Amino acid sequence: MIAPLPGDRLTHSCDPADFGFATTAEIEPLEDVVGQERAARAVDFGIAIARDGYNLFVMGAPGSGKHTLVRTAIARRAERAARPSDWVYVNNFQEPHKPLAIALPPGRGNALRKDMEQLIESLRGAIPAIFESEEYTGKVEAIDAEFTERHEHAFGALGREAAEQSIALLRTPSGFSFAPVKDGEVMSPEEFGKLPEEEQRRIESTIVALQGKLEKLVREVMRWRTERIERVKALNREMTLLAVGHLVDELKDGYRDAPKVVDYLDAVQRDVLDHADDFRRHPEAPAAIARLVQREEPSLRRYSVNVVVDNGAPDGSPIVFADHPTYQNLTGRVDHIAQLGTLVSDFNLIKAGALHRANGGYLLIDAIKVLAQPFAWEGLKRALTRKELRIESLAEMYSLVSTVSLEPEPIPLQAKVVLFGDRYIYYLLQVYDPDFGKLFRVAADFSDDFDRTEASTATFARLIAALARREALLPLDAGAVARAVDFGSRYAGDGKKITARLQRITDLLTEADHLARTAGRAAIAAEDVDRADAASRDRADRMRERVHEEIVRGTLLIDTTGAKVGQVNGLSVLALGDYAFGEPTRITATARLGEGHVIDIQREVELGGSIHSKGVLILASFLAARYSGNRPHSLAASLVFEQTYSEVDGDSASLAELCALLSALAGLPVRQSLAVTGSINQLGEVQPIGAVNEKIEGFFDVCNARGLTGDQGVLIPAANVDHLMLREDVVAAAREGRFRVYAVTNVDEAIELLTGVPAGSPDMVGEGPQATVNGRVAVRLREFSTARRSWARPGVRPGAPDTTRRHGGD
Amino acid sequence: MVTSDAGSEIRIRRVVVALDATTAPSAALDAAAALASGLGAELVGLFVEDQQLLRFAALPFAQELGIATASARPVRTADIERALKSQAERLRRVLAETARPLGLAWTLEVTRGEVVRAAVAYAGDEDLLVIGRTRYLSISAGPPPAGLQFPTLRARTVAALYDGTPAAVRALVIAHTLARVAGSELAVLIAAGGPEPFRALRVAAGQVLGAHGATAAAYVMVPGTDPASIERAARAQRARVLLWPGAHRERAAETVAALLADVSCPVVMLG
Repeated sequence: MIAPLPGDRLTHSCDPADFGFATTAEIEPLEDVVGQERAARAVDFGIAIARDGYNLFVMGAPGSGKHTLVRTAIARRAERAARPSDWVYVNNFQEPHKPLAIALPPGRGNALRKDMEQLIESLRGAIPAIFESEEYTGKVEAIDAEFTERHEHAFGALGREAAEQSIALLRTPSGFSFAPVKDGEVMSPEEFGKLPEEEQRRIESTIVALQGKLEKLVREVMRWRTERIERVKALNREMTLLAVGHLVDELKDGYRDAPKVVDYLDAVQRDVLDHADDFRRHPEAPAAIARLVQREEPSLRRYSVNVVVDNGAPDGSPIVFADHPTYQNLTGRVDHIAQLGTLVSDFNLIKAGALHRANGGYLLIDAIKVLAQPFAWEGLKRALTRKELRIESLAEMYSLVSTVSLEPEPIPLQAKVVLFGDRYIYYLLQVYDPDFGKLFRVAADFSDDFDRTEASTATFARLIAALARREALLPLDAGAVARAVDFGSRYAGDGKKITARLQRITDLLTEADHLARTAGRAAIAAEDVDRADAASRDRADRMRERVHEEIVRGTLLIDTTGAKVGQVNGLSVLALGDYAFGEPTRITATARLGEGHVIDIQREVELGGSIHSKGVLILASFLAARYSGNRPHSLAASLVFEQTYSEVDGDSASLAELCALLSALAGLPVRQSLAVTGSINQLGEVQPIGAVNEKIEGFFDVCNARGLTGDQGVLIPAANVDHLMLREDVVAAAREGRFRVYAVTNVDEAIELLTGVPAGSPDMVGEGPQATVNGRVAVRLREFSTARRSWARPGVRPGAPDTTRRHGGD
Repeated sequence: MVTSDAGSEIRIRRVVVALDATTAPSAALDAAAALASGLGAELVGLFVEDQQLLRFAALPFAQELGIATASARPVRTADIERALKSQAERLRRVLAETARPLGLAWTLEVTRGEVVRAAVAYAGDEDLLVIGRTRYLSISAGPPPAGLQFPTLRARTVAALYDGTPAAVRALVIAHTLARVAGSELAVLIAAGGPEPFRALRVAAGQVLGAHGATAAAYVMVPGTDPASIERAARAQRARVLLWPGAHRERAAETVAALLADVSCPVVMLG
């Protein structure tokens, strides 16, 4: 029979004396991520390679330093990089619904905006002054006088021609007419009627002829009117140019290095010349209207410059973290404003997205967030595939709104996108999204933990020193650092590893700092770390305490003394978020004659997970193979986790279930002072399981509450010994011989410990008294097999004695 | 109420602006409103329905050629009456909009006849008469700058014909009042046969203005009082209003009619 593990195998304690410092204030802090060399290499490669599709997916557990490492690596590279361009949107005077995007050297976007504001302000003064000047009005009057003279001359000539024929040219309210006159007065109808018919006809025909000439003249006048309008327009342009030309030329001189700006300024000048009237002073709008319209005069908004990306302030490439990566927050949007009951928009309402701000730099996004936002993932992929930023409204795309829409000119996109997420997201995207592999070619996989070696422990201490400085914590003394290292191993669930999820360490030390300060200490001590850990557990301990209480009170039936046939204390673990605890569970087995089936009651009632079912099937196969290799396996057995009312999963109880079944078959009682955890394979070997520490402690707590007898303990897989990081009280009890932990490698070792009977060999059957567990099991199964054969023989009535039954001895 | 250089009061009760279907109201109405404001007088719009038009419309072959369409259409008396009524209504609105911001009392009168004769006949002794020029077609560079009072007069010249008569003194004083109210410059057109009379009249005009603390921007000699001479002088000064002192009331209508045929601005005559 194997011996219990010695106390020093039950945990991996860090010795403070090994550090060689009193507090972390004495050591050089390490602002880096530890134990992620492979991920770091991937990140460096991913951000260095300037090729399409080489974006990064950084995966790993939360708090493993993904963001820190990536930000540090990017910041290192970004500060050396040239700042990318500013981007502005300006009006497209030819096609106003397609605003123009202009790139400018960093910091020049706002300069252009201010220059344009200054220009427009100057024009608002200069243009009205031009139009109110004597020079302008004089020129307009000269044009008017010329055309007036032309009219007067033409109408005067026609009037005189008419007068020579006793006809008057009359101006009516809306036109002209001819009328016969007599003594300077228009003839009355009576006077006209008294004229000889011949005279009347002559007058009428004269008037008809004159009307023909008048018609031609009026048409000519219409042409003159158009000509005059054109002359005045040309004058307006000429005069406006005097005000605008030199101002725009001065502005253009400052932007010779940005040809698109020069083109834009030329377009501005042309537009101002065409719309000089917009700059002239207009009467104040009535107050009621003024409240409804924008404060700025809408007509002059078209000369504004909308700076959507300003890289004037920071040095290097931009690093943007998209905290809320909705479709619009990523790709930008065009806002609308309500104006007099309708929704209107213009280029001034174009808003940049995170991709705009990250253009020329880096965009960091949490994968789950971008995937959770409708259309955001597709929008991101579309931008990366097209390599341009095109602002498209979802509402318009899906015809949800019908209003003025804009098609801003796309902006070329050159940004490195870094997605952060869990591994399962990465693998799901790899499988289900064919674009993903093309766009995110570099995966950086962050480990959940790293090896616990002498060197890495020292490095971890420096990391803690940096953490303390960064978080403004008290320095930690060597004992506290040692506790933090042990906590890191316990959190990793492995005595040979330290967790890489530094956020949890940070939380622990922050709480320890609070306790140390409360106690008036100058440095965080081991005691503070222990108390912080205990307090943290205590805060999450309600459920464990409740279960523990029910066991101690006997509501949940767990024996910790005595022996029972077919009954084993199994160990299960309950995970509640970040907190897990173990609890003993009674596993019982019954055996009877049957057809080789082991009934997993959990599965039958759909309270067993698939992995649990797999474990039961494996142990059933082991039984059949070991004991009934060449005869019918005539067993019907049932296994159940007693007093469980929710789903049970995992195969860590398969060793306990097998032992319960062997006990039932052999009729040998199992020591209830022991609990068992471990999974079994078809060869009877015990395989490692998870949460070994929590499981041991769960049973220890129950035994401890009832009083440790020295006979109590837990059987664990030998492969889990390295994972042991047990609580101090458990280790102390073990050292004092009041509690035992046994490491078993196969089912025979386990059943020997549980029954106190040698396991023996199943091949020894029939060769003597069955003093071994295996022998008794084999005999029992052979009896079942024989009974089954007899029951199957024709003519044998059920219930009749089987005269051919062989007894196996004992 | 203003006073002449002799200290006598020039009492102007009403400023009558006479308009018919063919006159553009802006310049004449602007001048009339400025005068009414400066003199504290009532503004009276006198719309004259042309008798000749009504007679013409009764002719069996009466046709009108539309100025906007260049197409002929028959015209009847009822059409003309409707159009005149509509114009009168339009004028009423313009008068109201002009008078309201100035706080002027105003009325609109409608009469029939020929505009100058009807206006002269209508105006009383304490009235100023403003008559716009009749044109074949109205030409304008568009709406004048908004937000200004008397936009057609501002930064323009008010011209007054001065021949040394008491009526001319009154006209000069009123012209000064108009120029002051409208923010215009004042040009004095001195009707003199030679340099000597011109100098004398210029001194006299200067004294009249000086008595009101005013000066003229220009004194211009007009060789004669014939309409052509006055028109040339007024044009040279870019006058927007001409103050004509008037002479014999019985000859006023003929003279003003002749003047309006040549000058390019409204004429203000004293009642």
